[in-house]
Amino acid sequence: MSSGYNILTFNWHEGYLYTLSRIGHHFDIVPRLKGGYSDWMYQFRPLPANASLVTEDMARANLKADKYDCVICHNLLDIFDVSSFNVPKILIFHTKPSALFTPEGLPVNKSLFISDLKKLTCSSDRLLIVFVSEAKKQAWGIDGTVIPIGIDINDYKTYRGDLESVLRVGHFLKAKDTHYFDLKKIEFLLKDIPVSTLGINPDISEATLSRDWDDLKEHYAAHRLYFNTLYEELDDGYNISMVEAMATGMPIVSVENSTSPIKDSVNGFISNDMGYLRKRINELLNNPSLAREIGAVARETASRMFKLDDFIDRWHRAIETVTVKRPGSKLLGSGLAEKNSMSVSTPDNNTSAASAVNVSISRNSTFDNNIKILREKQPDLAEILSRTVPSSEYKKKKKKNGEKTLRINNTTLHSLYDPSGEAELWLTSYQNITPNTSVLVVLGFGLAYHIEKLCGATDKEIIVMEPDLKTLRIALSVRDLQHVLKRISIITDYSLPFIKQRFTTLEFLPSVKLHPQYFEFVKSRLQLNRRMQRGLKIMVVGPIYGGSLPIAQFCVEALGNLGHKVDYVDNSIYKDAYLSITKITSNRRVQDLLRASFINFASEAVLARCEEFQPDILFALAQAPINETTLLKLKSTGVPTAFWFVEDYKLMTYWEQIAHLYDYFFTIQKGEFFSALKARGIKNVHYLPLASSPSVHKPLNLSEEERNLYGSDISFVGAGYYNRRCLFEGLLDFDFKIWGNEWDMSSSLGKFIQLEGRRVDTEEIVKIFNASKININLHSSPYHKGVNPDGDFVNPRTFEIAACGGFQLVDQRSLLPELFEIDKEIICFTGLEDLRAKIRFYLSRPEERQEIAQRARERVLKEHTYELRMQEMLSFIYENGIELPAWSTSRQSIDTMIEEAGEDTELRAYLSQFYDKGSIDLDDIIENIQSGEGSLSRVEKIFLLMNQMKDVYLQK
Amino acid sequence: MKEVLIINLTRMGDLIQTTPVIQGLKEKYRDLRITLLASSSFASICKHLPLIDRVIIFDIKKVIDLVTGGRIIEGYRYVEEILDTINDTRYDLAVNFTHSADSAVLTSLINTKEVRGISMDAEGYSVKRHPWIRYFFNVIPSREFNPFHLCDMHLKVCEVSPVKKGLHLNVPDEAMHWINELLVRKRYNSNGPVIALQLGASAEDKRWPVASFAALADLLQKELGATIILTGARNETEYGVEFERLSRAEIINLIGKTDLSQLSATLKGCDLLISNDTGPLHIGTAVGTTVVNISLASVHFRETGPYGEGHYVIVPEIACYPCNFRSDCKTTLCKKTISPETVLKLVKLIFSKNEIDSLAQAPEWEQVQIFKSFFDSNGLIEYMPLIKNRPIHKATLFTHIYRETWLKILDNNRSIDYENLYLKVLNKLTTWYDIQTLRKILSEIEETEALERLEKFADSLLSILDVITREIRKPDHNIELIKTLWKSVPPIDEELEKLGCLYPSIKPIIILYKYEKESLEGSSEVEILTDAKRMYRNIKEHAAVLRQILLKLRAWSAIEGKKPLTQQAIL
Repeated sequence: MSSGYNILTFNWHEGYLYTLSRIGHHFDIVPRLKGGYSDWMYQFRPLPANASLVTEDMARANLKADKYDCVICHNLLDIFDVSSFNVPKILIFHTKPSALFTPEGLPVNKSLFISDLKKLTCSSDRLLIVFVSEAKKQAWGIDGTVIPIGIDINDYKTYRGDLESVLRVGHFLKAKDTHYFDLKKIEFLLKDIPVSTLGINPDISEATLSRDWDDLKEHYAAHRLYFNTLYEELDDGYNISMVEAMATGMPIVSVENSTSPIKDSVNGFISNDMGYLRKRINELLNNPSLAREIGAVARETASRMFKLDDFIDRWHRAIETVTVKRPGSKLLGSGLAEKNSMSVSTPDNNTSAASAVNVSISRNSTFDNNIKILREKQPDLAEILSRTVPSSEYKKKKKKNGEKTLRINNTTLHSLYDPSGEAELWLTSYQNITPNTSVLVVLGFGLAYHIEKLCGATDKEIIVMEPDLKTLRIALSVRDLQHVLKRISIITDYSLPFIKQRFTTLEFLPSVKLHPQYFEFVKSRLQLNRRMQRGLKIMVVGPIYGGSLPIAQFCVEALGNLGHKVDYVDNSIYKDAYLSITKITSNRRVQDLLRASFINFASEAVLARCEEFQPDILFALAQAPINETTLLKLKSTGVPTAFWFVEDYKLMTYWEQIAHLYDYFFTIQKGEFFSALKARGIKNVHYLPLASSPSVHKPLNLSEEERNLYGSDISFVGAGYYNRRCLFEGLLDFDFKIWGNEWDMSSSLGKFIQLEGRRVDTEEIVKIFNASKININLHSSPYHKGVNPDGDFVNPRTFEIAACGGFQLVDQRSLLPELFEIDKEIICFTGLEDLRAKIRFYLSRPEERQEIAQRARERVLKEHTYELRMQEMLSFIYENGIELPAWSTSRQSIDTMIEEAGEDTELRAYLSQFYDKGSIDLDDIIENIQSGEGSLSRVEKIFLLMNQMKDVYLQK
Repeated sequence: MKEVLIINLTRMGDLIQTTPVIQGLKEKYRDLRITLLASSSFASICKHLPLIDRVIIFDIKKVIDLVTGGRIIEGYRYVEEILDTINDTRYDLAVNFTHSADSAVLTSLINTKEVRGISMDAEGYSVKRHPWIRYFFNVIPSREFNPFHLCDMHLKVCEVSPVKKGLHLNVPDEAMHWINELLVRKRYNSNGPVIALQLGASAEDKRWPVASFAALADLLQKELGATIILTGARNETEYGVEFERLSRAEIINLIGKTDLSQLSATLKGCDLLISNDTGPLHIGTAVGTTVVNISLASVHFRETGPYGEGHYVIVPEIACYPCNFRSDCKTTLCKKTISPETVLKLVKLIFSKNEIDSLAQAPEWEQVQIFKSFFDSNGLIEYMPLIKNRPIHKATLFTHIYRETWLKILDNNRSIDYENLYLKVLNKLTTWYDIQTLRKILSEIEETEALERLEKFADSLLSILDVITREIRKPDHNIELIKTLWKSVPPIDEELEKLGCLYPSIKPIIILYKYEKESLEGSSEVEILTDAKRMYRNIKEHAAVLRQILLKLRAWSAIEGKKPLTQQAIL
C-alpha cells in the first residue's frame, strides 16, 4: 500500500492520533477545544513526525483544493464541518452513546438521534464508520468496522514500581465517578492511600499533567499499581492509558466492566466490591514482588490483546476501502462490516491457532510436536507459549550425554552433570509420602526431568505449577516431552482450580526459589484447598420452619460427611414462639414489628454463636433469620458468607434485599434470575440445584402392613397449593392418596387426603415414595390451574423420589433435562390429559416403571446428592477467591502438617492420628494429649510447651 | 558441680534479682559453668549480668506467632532447635526461676541430673522440686505472713549464701563517661545532689502519681538545689510529658532516650534514686546507689524491695496494704497516703549525712512507715521499721516468728533450739514495736491450741504411714489391710486443712503441706511413703516450734505485765 496519502484529521485525543500516526501517511491536524485546552498537548504525546498542525481555515482551503485523500473524523462536529466536501471520510466512534446523553449532554431524543445517524451513515457516499471496540459498536447498534487500539509494548519503560503509590490517569475522573458509579465508594476505596492522578481534572486539587510523554511513561514505570475506573455504561473495560500501564508491566486494579481484559487475581484485580479492591491495593502496595508478578502477566496480556500490527493493518484496509472509488456503488457500512468481520478479532477473541505460526520465534520440530499435544489438552496455554520469547538471561546448556539444562540468572535448574540422576534422587525423597494420595501437585516444571521420572513411577494424576512461560517454552523446545504432556496438566497463573481428591505437593526447589512469590501463593492456596476438602469449620444457619428446614439438615449432614466440623444453628427451636405472634395481636403492623424483633433476636444469636464457634464459613439457607446488621457485623469479622436461595425468585422476592449482603449466592434457577442478579451488581452467583440425601432417601423393604398403609396406585406428598388442588380434581377416578397439609378436607379431594391432612415427616415420606406405584410430582404454583408452563427449577421431591427408587411422573421443568434424561430416567407430563394417559400407561407396565426408577436412582447417586452439592459449593467458593477469616489462621490442614513433618518419624507418627480431623490447631493437639494416659512423649511435651507459652503470653 | 542451667524467662527486674544466686554458685563451686536461658524480650540485660558463661535466648513471641498463624510445625521445629542448643550439655543442675506453667514443661525437657523449681513429671503433672520452691508458691496465697525476699528464696533453692551480698550489674566505662559529661553540662547546682526519678512501673497500680513526683521534684530543687533526672523506657515517655507539664523544676528528661548501659550509668551517677517497684529500682540497687522505694498496692517490699544494704522503702500504713495480686483496685488510697512532703522529709534526712536508725514522730510520717534494709545475722535481707513503737499487727508478729521457724524447717536445721529462736524474735519485737499492743495480741492468741491439734493430726498420720510401710515391706503383705489403713488418711487430711481455714496465721504450714503432697515423687511405694513421712514430721516439728515460741512469748508477756512500767522491755 502506498504510504503517500494526505489525511486530514482533528485533535480530540493526542494519544489516539499519536498511535494512528503509526500507520504512516501524512496527517494535517486541526486542533480542537477540549477540556479547556485547544493546543496540541505535548504533555500527553509529542506531535508525530508525520503530522503538522493546521488551522481550520487552512484545512478548509486544502479541502477546497482537493488536497486530502481522506478525512478522519472523531465525532459529529468533525463530520459536520467536512460534510460539504466530497472527500472519502471515516468517522470514528470513540464512545458509547451514553456519553452524549448525559444530563448535561445533547438535548435530543436518543432513539430519534440514533435513527437519524443511521440514515446519515447509510446515505453518505464514501463514509466508513469505525468503532474502537465491539462493545461500542453494539451500543450504537450501527454497522461499521471495529478497530481495537494497538500498542507496542516496547515503547514503554521497564516497570519498577518503586513508588508505593497508586496511579490514576484520565480526564474528569471525579465527574465520571459521580455519574456512572458512586463517588463515595471510590473515596472510601482510596482513603488514606497515596494516589497520583494525571490528566485534566479541575476538581481534583492534587491532579497534575505529566510534563511530557516520557514523564508519563516514567509515571507508569515508577508507580506500584494502576487504578482503573472505566464504567460499563460509558466505556470499554480498557482505554489507551490502561493498556499503556499494562504494557509497562503495571498490575491493574479495576472496577468491573464486562469487556475488561483484567482477570481477577491473574493480571490484576477486578471487582465492584470496594472492600476487596482496597485490600488488594494495600496488598500490592506492601508487596512489590506480587505487584511485579501480576504486572508481568498484564504486560503479556497487553502484548497479546492489543497488537499494534493488527491496529495498523486494519487501518490500512479501512483507508484503502474508503479511498478506492467504485463508481455507482455506495460504500455501505454494513457491507464493510461484513467484509471486515472476518479479519477483525476483538481483544476478547482468542486468536486462532493458525495465526500462531506467524510469530517470529525460531521454531523446531520438537517444539511443534510438544505443542501439538499440549494444544489438545490446554489450547490457551499452547497459544500463549507459541508467542513466548525467551530472553537473554535464559541460557541453555548441553551436556555430553545430550541432556540439557537451563540457567536463569544465576540459578541452574537441573544438575550440570546428570539431570536424570538428580531427578531420580528427587523422586526418592518423596517416596514415603506419596502412597495415600490420588493427585500429585508438582511445584516447578523446569526442563521436566523430574516430571518425566514421576510419570514413569506413578499412574496418579499430576498437576504442574509453573509461572515462568519462558522456561516452559524452552523446555518444550529442547526436550521431547510428548509423553509427559499427555499425562499432566500445567497451571501457569494465579487461578488455581479446586482439587477434590487427596493430593500431595512435591516441590522442585530450583523453580520454587526462582519464583518465591508465586509459589508462596500457590502453597497457601493448596493449603486452603485441603482445608476446603475436609476440616473446615462451617456454621450452617437454618430457617425457623418451612421447606428449607429439611434441606438445611441434609446440608449439615453432608458437610459433616465430607469431613468438616459443622455447627448447625437450628432455628426451628423458635418455631412455636414465632408462630404464636399471630395469637398475640391481630394488628398486622404490630405483628410485623414483633416478627422483626424476633428475627433481630435470632440474628443476634447467630452472631453470638459465630463469635463462639469461630467458623471459617457461614452458610445460610433460604429463610434463615439473619438480618442486614448481623451480616454487616459478620463482614467486619471477615467470615465469608454463603446463601443458598432454594426458592423461586419470582415468588419470593426478598433476595433483592439480601443477595448483595452475602459473598456467595447460590440459586436453583438461572437465566433471567442471573441477569436480574447481575443487573444489581451481585457477583459470585452460582447455580446449585437441589439434591437428595441417600442415607435418608433410600429403597426400603416395607412390611405388608406398611405397604397397605402407605401404598396406592398413585400418590402425592406435599402441601395443597392452588395448582395441585385444581389438577388433582381430575384424578379422582384413580386409587389416589394425598399426603400433607394445607388441603381442604371439605373439598372433593377430602376423602383422598390421608391422616386428616397433617404434615408427614421425612420417615413417612420415604415410605410413601417406596410404596406408591406412581408418585405424582407437581411443582407448586399459587396461580396456575395445573402445570406451570414456565416452570424452571427442579424441586427436592424429584431427587428424593428418584433416590428412593420410586417411580414418578413429574411436570415438565425447563431445568430438568440437564439433571435427568427425560423419558429414560424420568417421565414428564405437560397437563392433565397427558398425566392421565401416562398414569394409565405406566400402571400397566410395572417392569418399565422399575427400570426407569432404577436409572433415575443411579443418576441421583452419581450426580445429585447433597454431598456433591456441598462439594460444588465449596469448590465455587474456593475458585472465587475465598479468604478465611483471621481467626482461622491458626488451623492447618493435617495433610500439610504431615507433609511438613517430612521424614521425622516421631512427629509424623504422632500427627497421623489426627488424619480424620482434616484440619487441626494446637488446641486439638492439646486436647488429645490431655485425654491420653501414661507417660508423655517428647513430641507431646514440646506441643504442651508451645501451648503453655501461648497461654502465658496471651494472658499477659 | 560443673554445669548449671538457670531458666529465667521473666522480666528485667527478675533477671537482675538472679545475680545473687549466680554470685553464690560461683563462690561455692570452682570451675562452674553457668548457662542462662532468657526470653528474647529481655535479652539486652543479659550481657550486663556478671559471671554468666553462656546465654541462650528463647524467642517466645516467635513461637506464639507461628502457632497462631497456623504454622505449628515451624513452631515445633523452632522449639526443637532451641532445646537442642540447650541440651548440648548435660547439666548437673537446672534451676527454674520462672515459676510459670510453660517453664515447667520446658524444664521437664532439659537434659539434667537434678531439677529445682517448677517442672512436670512423666505423666504431665506439675511438680515443685525443692522445699524452698514449694515455699515460694506459698507466698502467693498467704503473702502477709511471708518474711523472705525473692532473692533469698532463690539463694535457698540453690543452697548458697554468697559472701559478696546484694545485686550485681556491670556498667560499661563509656556509658559512665557519657553520663558524667552530661552532668557536667546540665547539672542544676553543683552543690546540690543528683536525684533520679523513675516514674513508670510495669503495672498502673504500682505507679506513684506523676503529679506527686512533679510536686516532689519542685520541692527537691527548691530546698536542696537538686538536679532532677527522669529515667524510664520508651513506652513511659507519656509520663515525662505529663511531668514536664506539671513541674516547674529544671530537669533532665532521659525517658526513652537511654539504652540499658546508659540507664545503669545514669543511676550509678546519681546520689539517690526515687522509684516505684520496677526494673530500674533493681538496677539502682545493683549499681550501689541509695534507693528510696515507694511501695504501693500489690507490691510487697518484703518480696521484691531493694535487695541491698541501706536502702529505704516507704509504705502506706493502711489496712489493705499490700493488696492481692490482680486486685484491680479502683481507689487510690495508698497512692494518696504517701505525699511528696513525706518523701521530701526522708530525702532531706538521708542527705543530712547522719546514719538513720530511727525516725522521731512527725506529721509527715502519719499513715506511712519507712523501712531501711540490712542483711541480718542469717545473711538474709531484712527491713527495719524506722518509726518505732508503732502498734504491731498479728500478721506481723507471725511473720517475724516464721522468719526463724521456716529456716529451721526448710533448711532441715535441727540444731537450733527453741530458746534461741524465741530470744531473737522477742528482741526484734520489743525494739521495733509498741509493747502494749504486742502484749494484748499475745494474751488473746488462740493459735497455740490449734497448733497442738495440728501436731496430733500429723502424729496420727505418721503412725498410719508407719504401719503401712512396715506392712508393705513384708514379702506377703496384706493388701486389704493397707487399703483399710489408707482409707483413714483422707478424713484426717480434711481436718488438717480445716485448721488452716480457721486459723489464717497457721495457713502457710497447711498450704505448703498441700504442695508437698502434690510433689511427692518416688519410684516405689516405700520411697513415696518415706517422703510422705518426712512431710508429716515437718508439720509436726513446725507446729511444735511455733507453739513453743508463742508460749514463751505469752509467758514473757505475763511476767512483763507484773513489772513496774519503767522496767518493761529492756531486753
